[in-house]
Amino acid sequence: MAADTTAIRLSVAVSEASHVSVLRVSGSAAFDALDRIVPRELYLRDGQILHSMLLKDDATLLADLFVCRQDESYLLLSEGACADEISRRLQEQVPVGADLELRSLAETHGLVALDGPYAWELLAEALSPDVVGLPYLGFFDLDPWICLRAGKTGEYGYWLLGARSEIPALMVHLLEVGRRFDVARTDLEALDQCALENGFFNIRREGALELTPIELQLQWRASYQKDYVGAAALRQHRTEGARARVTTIVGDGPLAEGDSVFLDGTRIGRMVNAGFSVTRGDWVALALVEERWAHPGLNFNAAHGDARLDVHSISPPVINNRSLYVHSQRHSYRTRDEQTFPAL
Amino acid sequence: MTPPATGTREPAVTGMGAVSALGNGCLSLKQALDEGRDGIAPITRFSTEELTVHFGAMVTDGDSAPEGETPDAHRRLCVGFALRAAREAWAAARVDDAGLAPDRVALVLGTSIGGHVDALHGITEEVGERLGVGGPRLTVSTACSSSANALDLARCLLERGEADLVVAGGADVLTAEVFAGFHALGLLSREKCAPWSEPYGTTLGEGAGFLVLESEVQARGRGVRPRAFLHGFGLSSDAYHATSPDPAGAGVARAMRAALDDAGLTPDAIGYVNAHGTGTQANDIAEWKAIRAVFGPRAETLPVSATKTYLGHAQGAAGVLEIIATILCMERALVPPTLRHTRPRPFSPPDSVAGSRPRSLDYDHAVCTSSAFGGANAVVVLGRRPRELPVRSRRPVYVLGSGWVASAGVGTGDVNAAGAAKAPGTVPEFDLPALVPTLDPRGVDPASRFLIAAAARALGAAGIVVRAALRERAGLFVGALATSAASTAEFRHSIQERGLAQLSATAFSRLVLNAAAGVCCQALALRAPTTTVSIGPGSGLLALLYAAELLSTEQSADLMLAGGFDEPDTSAVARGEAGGAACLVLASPALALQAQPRISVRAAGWAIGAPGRFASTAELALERAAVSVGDVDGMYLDGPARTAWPAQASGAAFRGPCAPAAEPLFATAAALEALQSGKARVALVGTGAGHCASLALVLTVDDEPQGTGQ
Amino acid sequence: MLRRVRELLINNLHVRREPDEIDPDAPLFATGLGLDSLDAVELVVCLETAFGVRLGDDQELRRKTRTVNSVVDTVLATTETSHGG
Repeated sequence: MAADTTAIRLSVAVSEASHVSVLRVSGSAAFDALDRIVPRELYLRDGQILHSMLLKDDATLLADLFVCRQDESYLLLSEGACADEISRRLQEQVPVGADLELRSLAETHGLVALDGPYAWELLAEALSPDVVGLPYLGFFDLDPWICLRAGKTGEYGYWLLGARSEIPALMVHLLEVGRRFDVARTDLEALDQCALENGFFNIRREGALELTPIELQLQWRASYQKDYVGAAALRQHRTEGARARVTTIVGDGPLAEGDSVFLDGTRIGRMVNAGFSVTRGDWVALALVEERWAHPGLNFNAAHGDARLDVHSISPPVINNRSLYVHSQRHSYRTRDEQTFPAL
Repeated sequence: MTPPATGTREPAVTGMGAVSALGNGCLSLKQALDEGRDGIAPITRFSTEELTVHFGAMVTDGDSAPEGETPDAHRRLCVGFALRAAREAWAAARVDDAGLAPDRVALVLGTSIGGHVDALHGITEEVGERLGVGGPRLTVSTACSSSANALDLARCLLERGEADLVVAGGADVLTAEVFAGFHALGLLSREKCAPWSEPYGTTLGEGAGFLVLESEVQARGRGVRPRAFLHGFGLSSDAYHATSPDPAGAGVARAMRAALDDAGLTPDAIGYVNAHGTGTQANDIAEWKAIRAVFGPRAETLPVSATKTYLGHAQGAAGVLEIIATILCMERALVPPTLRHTRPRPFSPPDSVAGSRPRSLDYDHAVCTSSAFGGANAVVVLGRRPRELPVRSRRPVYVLGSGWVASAGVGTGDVNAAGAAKAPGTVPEFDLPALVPTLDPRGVDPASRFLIAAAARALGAAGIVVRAALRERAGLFVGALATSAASTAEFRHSIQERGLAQLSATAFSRLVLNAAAGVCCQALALRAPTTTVSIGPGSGLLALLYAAELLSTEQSADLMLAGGFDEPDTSAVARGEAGGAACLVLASPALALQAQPRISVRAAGWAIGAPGRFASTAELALERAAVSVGDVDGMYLDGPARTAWPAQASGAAFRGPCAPAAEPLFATAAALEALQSGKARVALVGTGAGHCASLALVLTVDDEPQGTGQ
Repeated sequence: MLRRVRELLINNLHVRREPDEIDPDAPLFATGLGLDSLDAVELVVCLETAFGVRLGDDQELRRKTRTVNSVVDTVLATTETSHGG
């Protein structure tokens, strides 16, 4: 895992994102239908992406969702719920016969991901310099691809969406051009670890545990001012007050999902996502702990098997991402040694 | 029957005048260009002690002695710069020998000074008065593209025959507040600006530039030789962000293509591009992308330079000063260099004419671009010889719908019929998210809210949704007197509370007159031409007539929204002024055909006339509409217009909400309703207020089946 | 301090949320609370006026204001050093 994580953190890594479902939503009823299942206000300009989620009726997490506005139609990129399931939910929101077209791109399209502080530069060289200057959560047409800038590692991150049949050739091309970038192929496991280190929610890990947005610190992806599937339950949870909240923890010893967290001998919570950080050299975890202890800067103990480990809570992101210091108009991988970067 | 345009569509530049950091007069400017001498120096007029940047390109000659940083001092300075430059141009063109009646000479002045002085249009009025301009005195205020945009409006006046000669350009003053505002935004360079090089950032400046524009025939009639010709113009809207340009450069590319189309030229015909080239990271890369998109592979070898390296960023005066610099070089087969280009950035023009002296180059045509806060882009194509382009035929302009915001809420049609009027000064209340669900209302000031609501309502009334390809063919022209009172107050307050070094950057970004238009374009995805104009009271009607002019002669839009907004401050409210906005939807025949209104209404004739001359203006509009005053069965004139035309004006003056910019558009909305409901067949809308212009618009019911007009 | 930072975000930066709705680890810019480049300027000024925090250059600014908690950490670090402790 080490080589590709290094690439994610220091140059660029390429992967195929087969865990993402893509659904195109169009028609005059598209906005209204979406508005009723997406918890967040759909304030979107053409070419802009909104990061939100989908909730179940009981307000627990169903999917991690990107909503992209292409003029009057929308592209949904979802992790956790497949295109058909989302289609079904959308259909439920509008009267029969409403002008709503739903097209799953699962069979015909695929996604290639590029992540890393010089991902923009590889893309600029391999495809087009137009990618330089694309803002975070923006996308544009890079014929025959749609190029989206999202990324969940804290580094520059891009998805290329296009015909499945074109992907093998694209991968070959990217890896070829990427040689001078020390490119590596990577996989979801490495990306998920980087996401954990940067405080990005993971639907496959903590998102699979029937937790609410309040517990998961995802209220920012929702609005209490509108109605949508799960809104009532969410409002109810908020009124009752959160009893627990996730907080990020680091420690020297092994940590794993399920490990208990203690404060002065009292169990206050458990890990919901954990992994070894190649970049930091220690273990990083997300723990669901009692609300009053869910703050950074506190010392806890973790129980991993028989071991008792010292850990402490910290504000994510826990990496001083190289991408913060690389400007896509000034810096190049070629000349990276001429620059002094702060430690990761 | 739509008559062809009467005057010139390709104005000759017969006089030029410049006041800038490079000195007083075009000769000083030329010498500085030739010697590679910039006008950037440490600022002495006001203190920059608290800030990290101290460079500016200030006017130091003549009567620019420090008088303090007050609105009055700035106004005096602005008028002073403008008069010096305008007089130089006037004398160079020997306008006095042209034997023109004063009311056949017009003035169009672009300025960015926005919320920093009161009554922006008053600057143009005073300059016009002292120059002896008796014709329309129009102000264009689209921040940093103001003067380039002003040249387009000047061309419209000439082409339509509203004036025989136009003095057009811009003027701006660098105030401590503007300097601090740009500083807060992180846009200023600590050294002299170095576009496409290092360090990043711009250097602000000031000054004034004017061109005398007229037909070549008229100039030669008195033995004056044109210096250059303005072949074509293109305006566009980024619809992206208040202070950052669209990173893809799509708006600038649109304006460039529109200007080239207008000039009947392909990109291959262009020998030189004078870029907006401020030196900021965001602008320079977006502009380069636009140049690449428009010029294709030629962009690798096309000379592109930034004269802001000499002049600094003269804000509203930048466009015209840079055009003057281009002309001064082009006529001697030279291109100006980009100074201080020592460390080229990636993704920048390969040939930025790096150097310290102009380079020899023989070329016939140049492109000059300007971009601005609010995403307003303006591009001018110019050349040494006339292109002798054919006279443009005019297509009919349809009026499809209206929308307004007043104390009664949001509505369409006749505001006076809309229900119980509330107390004067009541702030309109309405649900903006219901009208535009995709707009995040955070940071949208009341003026913008009014304008957006009125525009959205108007589109609804017209039955048009701006989607897909229509977005690049739909634009917005706005008339206003002042920037949002709330934003201005927030800005002032932040300075009082926290000092100049820590003023509110968000409030500063809203202190240009075109800020509301910028937010509205963003909210409704309007990407075609945009502008903001002022004549004082009645400004909204000028925006409408300018929009109608564009739709009737140009190919760059199919839909134009024309609006006016007012957000009075507390003293204006005490005088009984209300806040509000009104907006009309104008459309080309093709779009009107799609919208299929039951009764179609045309803007059949209009006129922009001299101030105090409403009677003749109205008569001209009627003549152009091929109707007589007896045919008019709906008069919607303001008080001064009625007073000026006592014999013909019938009925009472139209009383809208007391909102000076939007008032005549409320009148137009009422007129439209009367025509669409069959109550009238010919309506006349007019304004005679103020000392800047008289405006008249004739609306008629269109009996011809749509699309068969010319 | 978390409460005070939340209030600053609501009152000065016009974040349209109730205090308890603002997750401590919510990102501030581009996503999360959705602040933009203009807000960044305002944030810097507000942090200095309210808490005496001076944020150095651009890089430092980005690192120290990534989430609500980052801002809290930054303010606490400043007030600690200013109290000599």
